[in-house]
Amino acid sequence: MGWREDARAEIDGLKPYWVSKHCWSPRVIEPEGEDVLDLIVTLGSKRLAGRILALRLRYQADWQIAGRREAFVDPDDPASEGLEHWPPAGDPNVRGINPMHDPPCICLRGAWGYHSVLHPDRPMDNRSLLDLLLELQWVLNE
Amino acid sequence: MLQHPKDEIRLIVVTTAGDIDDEFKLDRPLEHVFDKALREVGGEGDRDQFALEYHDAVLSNLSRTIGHFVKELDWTDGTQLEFVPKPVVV
Repeated sequence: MGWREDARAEIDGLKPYWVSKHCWSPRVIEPEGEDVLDLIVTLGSKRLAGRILALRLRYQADWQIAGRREAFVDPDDPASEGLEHWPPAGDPNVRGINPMHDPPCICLRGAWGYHSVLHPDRPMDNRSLLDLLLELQWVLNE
Repeated sequence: MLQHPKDEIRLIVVTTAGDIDDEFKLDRPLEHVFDKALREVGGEGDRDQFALEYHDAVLSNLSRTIGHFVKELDWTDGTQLEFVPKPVVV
């Protein structure tokens, strides 16, 4: 299988129990003319007083080595990205989410920010999408 | 006829892999359930990177018996636990 099929397989393989429990509502977008596949996931945050966030994980040809490129986007318009859609850097901040880093990134295994920006010496090792989302949900709720 | 009290409880553990649906002896430590879930997800080498949860709260004292949790948290047959990866932020 190619990288795109592998990406689709892991997205389609997300365990329905966890998708339903956390109301992730995964959606796949394949922008025309771009060699990427975007997964949009909705995340609620108890830590941020119930704020609803939308995470875009961008799969590219190197995703199994580099990680899934992360960005928070407008939950109502996933085409709109920017720091205003990220969890805040100040109090209450969210452990592992670094909006003020250059580039903004997430320090959780499976994300591009972890394997390609902050800890390039730590390989992806087939880190699953489900594990990444559950860890992200953890820090958003703690 | 006098009935003996049940010495087992049926627990369901939802993991990131398959789910566990099994009977567990009340006098065994909860760690026994944790270990079974750990094997299910293939995480034996990363024990400290997982948590067993009930109602979204981490069950931290795994050396206590399952019977202790049955009494304290009113677990009944079919009670559902969750086994989740813990974030490793470095």
